[in-house]
Parts: sequence; structure tokens; C-alpha cells
Amino acid sequence: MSTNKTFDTLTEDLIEILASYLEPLDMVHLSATCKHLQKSINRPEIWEHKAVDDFGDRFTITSILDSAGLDLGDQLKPEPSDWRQYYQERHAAMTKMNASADDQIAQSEKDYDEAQELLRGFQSTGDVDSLSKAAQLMVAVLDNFPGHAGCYHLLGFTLYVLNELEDALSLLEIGSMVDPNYEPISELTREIQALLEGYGSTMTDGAPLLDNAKELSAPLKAALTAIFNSFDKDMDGSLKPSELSDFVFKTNGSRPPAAFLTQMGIQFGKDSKGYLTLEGFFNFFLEQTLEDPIETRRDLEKHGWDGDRLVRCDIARNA
Amino acid sequence: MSAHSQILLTSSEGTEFLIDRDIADKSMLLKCMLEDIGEIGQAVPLPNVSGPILTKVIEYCTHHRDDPNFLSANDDVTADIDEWDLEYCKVDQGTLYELILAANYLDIKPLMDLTCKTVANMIKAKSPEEIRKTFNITNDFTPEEEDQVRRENGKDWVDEH
Repeated sequence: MSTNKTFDTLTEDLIEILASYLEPLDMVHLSATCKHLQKSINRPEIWEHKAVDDFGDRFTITSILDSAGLDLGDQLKPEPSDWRQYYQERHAAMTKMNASADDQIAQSEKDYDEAQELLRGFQSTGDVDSLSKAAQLMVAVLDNFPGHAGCYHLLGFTLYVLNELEDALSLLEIGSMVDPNYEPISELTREIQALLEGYGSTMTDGAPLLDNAKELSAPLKAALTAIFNSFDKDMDGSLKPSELSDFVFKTNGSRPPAAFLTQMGIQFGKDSKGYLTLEGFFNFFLEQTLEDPIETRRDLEKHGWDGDRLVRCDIARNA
Repeated sequence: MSAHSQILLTSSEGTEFLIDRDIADKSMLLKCMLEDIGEIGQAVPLPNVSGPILTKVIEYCTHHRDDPNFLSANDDVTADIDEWDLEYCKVDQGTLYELILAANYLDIKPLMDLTCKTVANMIKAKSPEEIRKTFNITNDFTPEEEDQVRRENGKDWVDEH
């Protein structure tokens, strides 16, 4: 097995993967070896991902909470313009904090208890301000302890009581990546998913999905075409990874890994850029419908279609 | 769907690999695909994984076939690498990089951790000059540029220790 790849011709993808396994000082040393590595390592994305890895996905979390209507006060900060500098500042702050870790742990436990108390208070008073206050406390604790799974659970719960179910799932997903074994997160996730599924009706017969049990029926094709077009934002006739990711997110409530998106195109039909075409989209739904027709009807419901009659819900209601 | 069913994979050169379903399931990409769309009749094409690399990947997944801690064992980044894995990583650097990319694409976290840790250990606590030697990197900075890089890095990370 011989390859001629040497380290300084490494692709940027590889550098990005490796960066999360390296200490920051090792990255600085690596970047000082040659111009190519200096350039690759100092890309903002590298430091942004490393900051998310090491210090938590703070800005995604606060933007989810903010869009759900919670008032985060001082805790709502703009995304850094210089991620490398942000990383350095956070790294220095964490190093300093570790020196007085005991005090910090005691304080964070106090804040965590207070947030729980506020959430309980909300359940009797219905005062949304107490939810905002709890969210602020949790965001602050996560700044010091990005691995504190309990905080993600409480934040997810906060969004859940606000009935922001999709947002709650996104937040719980971030938490489950931080700590896949924290049971309260998995429990709440299952509960919310069950709720979301319950919103779909139970469908048995209805307009046929298939013709001759081997190809998509005309009404299903029409529905899928409309859904496909609504996600094809740049209207180039194919779903690029970001568009496909939006589709999967709306359908399943979580985002698939990048490779999954690429593989969809490879497996079912892609254009010259490797993006999933409408034909490929049909092929996927044909495979799925042959395997599990109910799943296809459920998917349609997620996109505002009546899964039974294969017409748009707004039209179905008026009929 | 029987637990012993088999999956056909095609490498970038078009070579076919018939593997058991439980081996394929070590790859989260293949596992999710197979769960989402069920048993697929035709081969799964993997245009960015070459035959020799796919062979290596399958070797790894087969060795760890019955490993109950497959997904949780490597959470500790500082944990020692076991002997078989250590031996497995004794390949040329180019192969190691391609294994990382394949493990990343196929989403096999333990193989990612293993190969990335192996490379990270080769970099850890080394000076830029030592790193150049290890990886055969040509220093293309002029002496002035290198001076400046050193000054900037020294300034940036002064709080480190």
C-alpha cells in the first residue's frame, strides 16, 4: 500500500478533524512549521469548531433560546468575529478558573439548584420571566462547565414547557452529544418525539402511494415535487447538502451527518455536483414506500400535506 | 431482516466487498442508511474510499466485531491504545491519513479516535522543528517570516503555562 501524501499537503478536511485531537499549543507549533499548515490551521472554522468542542456550542444555544422568546439579558452575546482570539480568551479564562475550581463548582451547583427552583415556580405561577432567569443561569453555568449535562436538560425542559418542541429537541441533541449517557436527556427526547409523532393522524388506507406496486403514484409524485421545490432554495433542480439537511431536519427533527447527505446523492441520483436530484428524491421515496408506506405518509404530514388524501392540509381543510 | 444478512460495498476502483451486516453496522453511515431505507438490493458505492483502505477498515471492524464497548471505550482521549490497535496503526503516514478520512466519512468513531490519536501523539509536545522532522515538512518560511511567526505565537499563548 503506497501513497504519496505527505503531511504538508494534507487536505483542509483532515486538518480540521485532527484539530479536535490536538492541544491548542500543539496546533500553534504545527502552524509554525510551514506556510500551508499556517494557513490551514488558522482558518476561522478550525478555531470555531475547536471552541465548540472544548467550550460548548454557546452561540447556537443562545440563539435557539432567544428565538423561543426567552430574555437572556447580558448572556445574549454576538458571535465572535475572531474565533482564534475567542478561543485564546476562553482558554486563558478556563485555565484561570481551574485554579479555583472548588469555588466555581459550588457556585454552579447553587445556580443549578436556583434554576430548578425557578422552573418549579413557573409551573405554579406561569411567569415566563422565571424561565428567562433560569435560562440565563444555565447559560452562565455552561460557560464554566460546558460538559454539565443537567444544564442542557433544564434548557430543553424550559423550551418544552414553552411548547417549542423542535427547539427543545435541537437543544437536547447538543446536550446528548456532550454526554450521550445522561438519561434525563434521552427520556425527555423520547417524550417530545412521541408528542410530535402523535400530531400526525393514524393513516391506513387513503389515496394510493404506488402504481402497480412498483412506481410512485401521480399524486405522490406531485406532493414530493412540491416539497422538493420548497427546499430547493436556489432553484437549481437539486438539493445541495444544506438544503437536504433542512429537509431531513424538518422530517426527522434532527440533522444527519455530512456524509449521510453526500451518500443520499450517490445512492439515489445526483447531478454533476453530487447533489440529490428530483429523480433521486423520487427513488429514495420509492425505496421507503416499498419498505414502509406509513412512514411516507407521516413524512408528508411533517411538510404540511394530508398524508391520507395526498393534498395540502390547507386545501384539505377547505374541502 | 435476518441478523446474518450481508451487504455489498463498492470501493472507488469498483472492487466489490461482501461483508456481514453486523460489520457494516460499525459504520454509523451505513447503519443509518440501512435502517432508513431497509435492505438495498444493489451495492453501496463508496467513491471516496479506495480498495486497500476499505480492506483495512473492514479488518478493524471485524477485529472489534464482538466488542461490547465499541462506541464508549474511547471516550477518554488520553486513554492508552491497546496492543492490537497499536499494531494496526503501524502503517505509512499516507495510509494513516486515508484511514482517518475513511473513518470520518463512514462515521466509525472508535477508528477515528484511534487513527487521530496516533497522529496527535506524533505531534504532541514537540517544537515546530521536531514536527518538521517527524513529518518530513519543508520549512518554506524566510528567516524574517519565521521570526515573526515565533513572536506572534509567543505573544498569543503567553498565558498557557
